[in-house]
Amino acid sequence: MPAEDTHAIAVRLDELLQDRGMTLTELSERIGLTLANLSILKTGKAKAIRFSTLEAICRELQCQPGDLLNYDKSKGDNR
Amino acid sequence: MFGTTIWLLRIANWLNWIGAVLFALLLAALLLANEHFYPAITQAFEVQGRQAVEAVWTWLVSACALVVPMAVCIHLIFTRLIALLRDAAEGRAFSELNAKRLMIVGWALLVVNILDLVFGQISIWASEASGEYFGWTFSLTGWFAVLLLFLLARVFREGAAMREDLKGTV
Repeated sequence: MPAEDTHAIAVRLDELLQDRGMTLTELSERIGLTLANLSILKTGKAKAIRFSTLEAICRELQCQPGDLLNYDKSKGDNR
Repeated sequence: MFGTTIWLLRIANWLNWIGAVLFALLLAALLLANEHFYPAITQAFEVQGRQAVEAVWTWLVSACALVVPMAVCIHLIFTRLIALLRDAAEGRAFSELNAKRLMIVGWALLVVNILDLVFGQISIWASEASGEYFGWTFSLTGWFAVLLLFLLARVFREGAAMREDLKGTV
Protein backbone atom coordinates (compact mmCIF):
# COMPACT_ATOMS: atom_id res chain seq x y z
CA MET A 1 0.00 0.00 0.00
CA PRO A 2 1.84 3.10 -1.16
CA ALA A 3 0.03 5.60 1.10
CA GLU A 4 1.18 3.63 4.13
CA ASP A 5 4.81 3.50 3.02
CA THR A 6 5.18 7.10 2.03
CA HIS A 7 3.31 9.05 4.71
CA ALA A 8 4.98 12.30 5.61
CA ILE A 9 5.13 11.76 9.38
CA ALA A 10 8.48 10.45 10.51
CA VAL A 11 8.76 8.70 13.88
CA ARG A 12 12.02 9.38 15.72
CA LEU A 13 11.60 6.71 18.35
CA ASP A 14 14.89 5.01 17.49
CA GLU A 15 16.91 8.20 18.05
CA LEU A 16 15.09 9.01 21.29
CA LEU A 17 15.76 5.52 22.62
CA GLN A 18 19.44 5.78 21.69
CA ASP A 19 19.72 9.17 23.42
CA ARG A 20 18.14 7.76 26.59
CA GLY A 21 20.07 4.49 26.44
CA MET A 22 16.85 2.51 26.52
CA THR A 23 15.85 -0.56 24.51
CA LEU A 24 12.57 -1.06 22.71
CA THR A 25 11.75 -4.03 24.96
CA GLU A 26 12.32 -1.92 28.06
CA LEU A 27 10.06 0.84 26.75
CA SER A 28 7.37 -1.65 25.81
CA GLU A 29 7.41 -3.04 29.37
CA ARG A 30 7.25 0.44 30.89
CA ILE A 31 4.35 1.70 28.81
CA GLY A 32 2.44 -1.59 28.62
CA LEU A 33 2.42 -1.79 24.83
CA THR A 34 3.39 -4.95 22.97
CA LEU A 35 6.81 -5.10 21.38
CA ALA A 36 5.16 -5.84 18.03
CA ASN A 37 3.06 -2.66 18.17
CA LEU A 38 6.00 -0.58 19.29
CA SER A 39 8.05 -1.96 16.38
CA ILE A 40 5.24 -0.95 14.00
CA LEU A 41 5.49 2.58 15.40
CA LYS A 42 9.27 2.63 15.27
CA THR A 43 9.46 1.52 11.64
CA GLY A 44 6.89 4.12 10.57
CA LYS A 45 4.31 1.52 9.55
CA ALA A 46 1.65 2.72 12.01
CA LYS A 47 -1.42 4.36 10.53
CA ALA A 48 -2.42 6.16 13.72
CA ILE A 49 -1.23 6.68 17.27
CA ARG A 50 -3.47 6.90 20.34
CA PHE A 51 -3.08 9.87 22.68
CA SER A 52 -2.65 7.38 25.52
CA THR A 53 0.33 5.76 23.71
CA LEU A 54 1.84 9.14 22.90
CA GLU A 55 1.38 10.27 26.50
CA ALA A 56 3.04 7.11 27.87
CA ILE A 57 6.01 7.37 25.51
CA CYS A 58 6.52 11.07 26.31
CA ARG A 59 6.30 10.29 30.03
CA GLU A 60 8.89 7.51 29.89
CA LEU A 61 11.26 9.20 27.46
CA GLN A 62 10.87 12.62 29.08
CA CYS A 63 10.07 14.29 25.77
CA GLN A 64 7.42 16.26 23.92
CA PRO A 65 5.22 14.82 21.13
CA GLY A 66 7.12 17.05 18.72
CA ASP A 67 10.36 15.31 19.64
CA LEU A 68 8.85 11.98 18.64
CA LEU A 69 7.03 12.97 15.46
CA ASN A 70 8.37 15.01 12.56
CA TYR A 71 6.62 16.23 9.45
CA ASP A 72 8.66 15.52 6.31
CA LYS A 73 7.77 18.41 3.97
CA SER A 74 9.28 16.80 0.85
CA LYS A 75 7.09 13.72 1.20
CA GLY A 76 4.03 15.78 2.12
CA ASP A 77 4.38 18.01 -0.95
CA ASN A 78 4.56 15.01 -3.27
CA ARG A 79 1.03 13.89 -2.34
CA MET B 1 -23.55 -21.65 19.06
CA PHE B 2 -21.69 -21.01 15.81
CA GLY B 3 -20.74 -24.69 15.57
CA THR B 4 -24.34 -25.88 15.89
CA THR B 5 -25.59 -23.34 13.35
CA ILE B 6 -22.86 -24.35 10.89
CA TRP B 7 -23.87 -28.00 11.23
CA LEU B 8 -27.56 -27.16 10.80
CA LEU B 9 -26.76 -25.21 7.64
CA ARG B 10 -24.64 -28.10 6.32
CA ILE B 11 -27.51 -30.53 6.92
CA ALA B 12 -29.96 -28.09 5.33
CA ASN B 13 -27.70 -27.84 2.28
CA TRP B 14 -27.55 -31.63 1.97
CA LEU B 15 -31.35 -31.77 2.20
CA ASN B 16 -31.50 -29.02 -0.40
CA TRP B 17 -29.47 -31.11 -2.87
CA ILE B 18 -31.34 -34.34 -2.05
CA GLY B 19 -34.60 -32.48 -2.75
CA ALA B 20 -33.15 -31.02 -5.96
CA VAL B 21 -32.09 -34.47 -7.21
CA LEU B 22 -35.51 -35.93 -6.43
CA PHE B 23 -37.25 -33.09 -8.26
CA ALA B 24 -34.83 -33.48 -11.20
CA LEU B 25 -35.72 -37.19 -11.38
CA LEU B 26 -39.41 -36.35 -11.26
CA LEU B 27 -38.85 -33.78 -14.02
CA ALA B 28 -37.11 -36.39 -16.17
CA ALA B 29 -39.96 -38.86 -15.55
CA LEU B 30 -42.59 -36.21 -16.37
CA LEU B 31 -40.86 -35.35 -19.62
CA LEU B 32 -40.05 -38.87 -20.74
CA ALA B 33 -43.33 -40.53 -19.81
CA ASN B 34 -45.86 -37.72 -19.79
CA GLU B 35 -48.75 -39.88 -21.03
CA HIS B 36 -48.32 -42.21 -18.06
CA PHE B 37 -48.84 -39.32 -15.67
CA TYR B 38 -52.11 -38.07 -17.16
CA PRO B 39 -54.37 -40.62 -15.40
CA ALA B 40 -52.60 -40.02 -12.09
CA ILE B 41 -52.98 -36.25 -12.52
CA THR B 42 -56.68 -36.64 -13.29
CA GLN B 43 -57.11 -38.68 -10.11
CA ALA B 44 -54.91 -36.65 -7.78
CA PHE B 45 -56.01 -33.18 -8.82
CA GLU B 46 -59.59 -34.06 -9.73
CA VAL B 47 -59.39 -32.21 -13.05
CA GLN B 48 -61.39 -33.06 -16.16
CA GLY B 49 -60.48 -32.72 -19.81
CA ARG B 50 -57.22 -33.00 -21.74
CA GLN B 51 -56.47 -29.25 -21.59
CA ALA B 52 -56.84 -29.13 -17.80
CA VAL B 53 -54.64 -32.19 -17.32
CA GLU B 54 -51.99 -30.71 -19.61
CA ALA B 55 -52.10 -27.47 -17.62
CA VAL B 56 -51.46 -29.40 -14.39
CA TRP B 57 -48.67 -31.36 -16.12
CA THR B 58 -47.07 -28.08 -17.31
CA TRP B 59 -47.35 -26.69 -13.79
CA LEU B 60 -45.64 -29.79 -12.37
CA VAL B 61 -42.86 -29.68 -15.00
CA SER B 62 -42.31 -25.95 -14.38
CA ALA B 63 -42.21 -26.43 -10.61
CA CYS B 64 -39.65 -29.24 -10.95
CA ALA B 65 -37.56 -27.26 -13.46
CA LEU B 66 -37.51 -24.23 -11.16
CA VAL B 67 -36.25 -26.30 -8.23
CA VAL B 68 -32.85 -26.87 -9.89
CA PRO B 69 -31.77 -23.20 -10.23
CA MET B 70 -33.40 -22.58 -6.84
CA ALA B 71 -31.18 -25.31 -5.30
CA VAL B 72 -28.08 -23.70 -6.81
CA CYS B 73 -29.06 -20.35 -5.26
CA ILE B 74 -29.79 -21.97 -1.88
CA HIS B 75 -26.41 -23.75 -2.08
CA LEU B 76 -24.74 -20.37 -2.64
CA ILE B 77 -26.62 -18.88 0.31
CA PHE B 78 -25.86 -21.75 2.72
CA THR B 79 -22.18 -22.16 1.80
CA ARG B 80 -21.53 -18.41 2.08
CA LEU B 81 -23.33 -18.28 5.42
CA ILE B 82 -21.26 -21.21 6.68
CA ALA B 83 -18.02 -19.47 5.63
CA LEU B 84 -19.21 -16.23 7.23
CA LEU B 85 -20.12 -17.95 10.50
CA ARG B 86 -16.75 -19.73 10.55
CA ASP B 87 -14.99 -16.39 10.24
CA ALA B 88 -17.24 -14.87 12.91
CA ALA B 89 -16.39 -17.74 15.28
CA GLU B 90 -12.70 -16.92 14.78
CA GLY B 91 -13.34 -13.24 15.51
CA ARG B 92 -12.78 -11.93 12.00
CA ALA B 93 -16.30 -11.35 10.72
CA PHE B 94 -15.66 -7.85 9.43
CA SER B 95 -13.63 -8.38 6.28
CA GLU B 96 -13.87 -7.43 2.64
CA LEU B 97 -14.33 -11.14 1.80
CA ASN B 98 -17.35 -11.44 4.10
CA ALA B 99 -18.85 -8.28 2.60
CA LYS B 100 -18.54 -10.00 -0.81
CA ARG B 101 -20.11 -13.16 0.62
CA LEU B 102 -23.10 -11.17 1.86
CA MET B 103 -23.44 -9.57 -1.57
CA ILE B 104 -23.50 -13.08 -3.13
CA VAL B 105 -26.17 -14.14 -0.60
CA GLY B 106 -28.16 -11.01 -1.52
CA TRP B 107 -27.94 -11.70 -5.27
CA ALA B 108 -28.80 -15.38 -4.77
CA LEU B 109 -31.84 -14.42 -2.70
CA LEU B 110 -32.86 -11.96 -5.41
CA VAL B 111 -32.78 -14.78 -7.97
CA VAL B 112 -34.83 -16.96 -5.56
CA ASN B 113 -37.43 -14.17 -5.34
CA ILE B 114 -37.54 -13.81 -9.13
CA LEU B 115 -37.95 -17.59 -9.52
CA ASP B 116 -40.76 -17.43 -6.97
CA LEU B 117 -42.46 -14.72 -9.05
CA VAL B 118 -42.12 -16.88 -12.18
CA PHE B 119 -43.56 -19.83 -10.25
CA GLY B 120 -46.42 -17.59 -9.09
CA GLN B 121 -47.26 -16.58 -12.65
CA ILE B 122 -47.24 -20.21 -13.78
CA SER B 123 -49.46 -21.15 -10.82
CA ILE B 124 -51.97 -18.41 -11.67
CA TRP B 125 -52.03 -19.51 -15.30
CA ALA B 126 -52.35 -23.21 -14.37
CA SER B 127 -55.15 -22.42 -11.89
CA GLU B 128 -57.10 -20.62 -14.59
CA ALA B 129 -56.47 -23.29 -17.22
CA SER B 130 -57.27 -26.29 -15.04
CA GLY B 131 -59.84 -24.99 -12.58
CA GLU B 132 -57.69 -26.38 -9.74
CA TYR B 133 -56.32 -23.77 -7.32
CA PHE B 134 -52.54 -23.83 -7.00
CA GLY B 135 -51.84 -21.80 -3.90
CA TRP B 136 -49.34 -19.00 -4.29
CA THR B 137 -49.27 -15.61 -2.64
CA PHE B 138 -46.96 -12.70 -3.25
CA SER B 139 -44.78 -11.82 -0.29
CA LEU B 140 -42.61 -8.75 0.23
CA THR B 141 -40.54 -10.38 2.99
CA GLY B 142 -38.00 -11.91 0.62
CA TRP B 143 -37.54 -8.63 -1.27
CA PHE B 144 -36.95 -6.76 1.99
CA ALA B 145 -34.43 -9.44 2.99
CA VAL B 146 -32.52 -8.79 -0.28
CA LEU B 147 -32.42 -5.07 0.48
CA LEU B 148 -31.31 -5.78 4.04
CA LEU B 149 -28.53 -8.10 2.83
CA PHE B 150 -27.16 -5.51 0.41
CA LEU B 151 -27.20 -2.92 3.22
CA LEU B 152 -25.55 -5.38 5.59
CA ALA B 153 -22.83 -6.04 3.00
CA ARG B 154 -22.18 -2.28 2.94
CA VAL B 155 -21.99 -2.25 6.75
CA PHE B 156 -19.50 -5.14 6.65
CA ARG B 157 -17.40 -3.26 4.08
CA GLU B 158 -17.34 -0.22 6.39
CA GLY B 159 -16.51 -2.48 9.33
CA ALA B 160 -13.66 -4.06 7.37
CA ALA B 161 -12.23 -0.61 6.58
CA MET B 162 -12.49 0.41 10.25
CA ARG B 163 -10.83 -2.81 11.33
CA GLU B 164 -8.02 -2.25 8.83
CA ASP B 165 -7.52 1.24 10.27
CA LEU B 166 -7.51 -0.13 13.79
CA LYS B 167 -4.88 -2.69 12.80
CA GLY B 168 -2.39 0.09 12.14
CA THR B 169 -3.24 2.00 15.32
CA VAL B 170 -0.77 1.76 18.17
